[in-house]
Amino acid sequence: VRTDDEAAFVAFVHARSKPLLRTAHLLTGDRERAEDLLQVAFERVARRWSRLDGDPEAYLRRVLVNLATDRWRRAGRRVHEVPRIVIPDEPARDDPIDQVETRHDLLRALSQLGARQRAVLVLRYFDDLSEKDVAAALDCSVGNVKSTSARALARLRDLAELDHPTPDPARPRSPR
Amino acid sequence: MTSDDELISALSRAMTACTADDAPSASLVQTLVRLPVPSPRRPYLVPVGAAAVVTALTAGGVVLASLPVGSTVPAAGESVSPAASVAVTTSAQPSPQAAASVAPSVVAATTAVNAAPTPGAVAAPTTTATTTTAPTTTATTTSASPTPAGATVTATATGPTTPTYLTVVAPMDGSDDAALLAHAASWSVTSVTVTDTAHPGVKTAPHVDTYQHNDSKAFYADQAEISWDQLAQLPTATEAFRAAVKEPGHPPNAVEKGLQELIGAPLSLAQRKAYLAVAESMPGAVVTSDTVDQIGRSATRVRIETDLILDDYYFDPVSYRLLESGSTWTPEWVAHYKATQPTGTPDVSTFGTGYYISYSNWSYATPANASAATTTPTPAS
Repeated sequence: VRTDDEAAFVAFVHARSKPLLRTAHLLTGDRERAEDLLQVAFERVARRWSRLDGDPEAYLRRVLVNLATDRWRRAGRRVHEVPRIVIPDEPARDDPIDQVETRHDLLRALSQLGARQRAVLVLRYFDDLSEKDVAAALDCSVGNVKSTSARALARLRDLAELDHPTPDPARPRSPR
Repeated sequence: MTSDDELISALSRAMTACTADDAPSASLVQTLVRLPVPSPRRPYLVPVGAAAVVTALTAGGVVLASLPVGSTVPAAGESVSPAASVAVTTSAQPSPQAAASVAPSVVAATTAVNAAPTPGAVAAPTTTATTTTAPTTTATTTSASPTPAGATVTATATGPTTPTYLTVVAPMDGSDDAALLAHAASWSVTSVTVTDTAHPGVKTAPHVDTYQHNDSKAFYADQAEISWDQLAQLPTATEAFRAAVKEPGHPPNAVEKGLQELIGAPLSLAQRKAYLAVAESMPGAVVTSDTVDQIGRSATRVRIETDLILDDYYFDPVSYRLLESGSTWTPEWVAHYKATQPTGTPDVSTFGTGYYISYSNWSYATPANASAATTTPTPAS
């Protein structure tokens, strides 16, 4: 006989495991490791399920990010581990070749970012979280999210060998 | 691609395309939906669902007698009138370890029945269980050692559709909680609530987060499942114990999970000593010796912070038993997830020694003064 808590948890698994796996995939750069992390994260959520008083997905995402960026866990893995985001070989129909190449470049560059920079970009621009929610997931300030995001985008441009935007002389630079 | 907006848009499309075909494997989903979800109620309160709660006296796995609601659980070896027994059936099976090692002991059983106990009905001598006239949510708990002498079994019979709860009022002195733990650890639908009669609304049961696994394993330690036999064989040397509760290849702080899962296990004194030593030496653990728990008992506190939650464990420095545990939520957690704070302050003067306290969901002002925060046991829900 399932308790209400168990039933709610199972419903949560069915509803959110797929999008969260995608997030985990992008965070880790590895589809298999994403499943591992997702399982660990769900286990933690399950243990606290009855006590969670907020959004369980927010908590799970936070755990997921912690696991993906945890130095201990990463240190325990292969030393020379390289994130392997699987890049689709076949372009989608009506997908211009240059867009496919750009996509390749961006994903490769994303996988080469540091874990925290990657996390900011994934949470902000894939999960479409607000800066405040990204800050909550990363346990940092909104300002830190903004600066990390800016640095991550600049680094992404470098790694993907994209042009940097031309500064608008009419627009003053924001202070660092 | 000159602007950040264009870059972000392209990145977003790339990430979406990259993961478009991602879906959790069927085996992963199956694993996830089977994850145990410990309920704060389940370990402590037993929904009986009907009219009777009995206790049974067994020896060597054979039911000698069972007792009606309201009777006093006798001391081990004390004779009990079989006239008080009730015939019940259970679908659950006792753990191999419990069945193999059971000495003449008192067994508390909760069961759903539609009628009041039938005086004179005697359980079959070849079964370890008692039987019920309506075996709906039946179960029997078995202990490898006696239930505390003098414990009183009480229950409220409010009809077949209204859950009732078994409450064992046990004057625990700390020596018999392993028996109670063994009870609850063996079965999924049976548990024990130990309450202070002067403060019945407060959970003071031994810490038991238990759930019946399909394969009848007793506990989990990290990814591994531990059977009753394996539990008894856990090493007593610190490093060996650490290795036993830690999955090979995991980093040191992965030990925490194994420890948490075993926290309610009926370990031996030497195992508990090793357990505490491992807990104290965990990376990130903050150990405070010579402190006291909520009711003033001498204790060693081990504090572990994970995911914006501080988990505190108070251990008896002599017996190494867990006296108290609780989760304290950081301000960041409260701010982000709007954790509710319990209200009111229980009168802790009614607590005696030997009680285990569990609480959760308490917040404090700042991490810096966490130790000065006022935390009080949460009334049982």
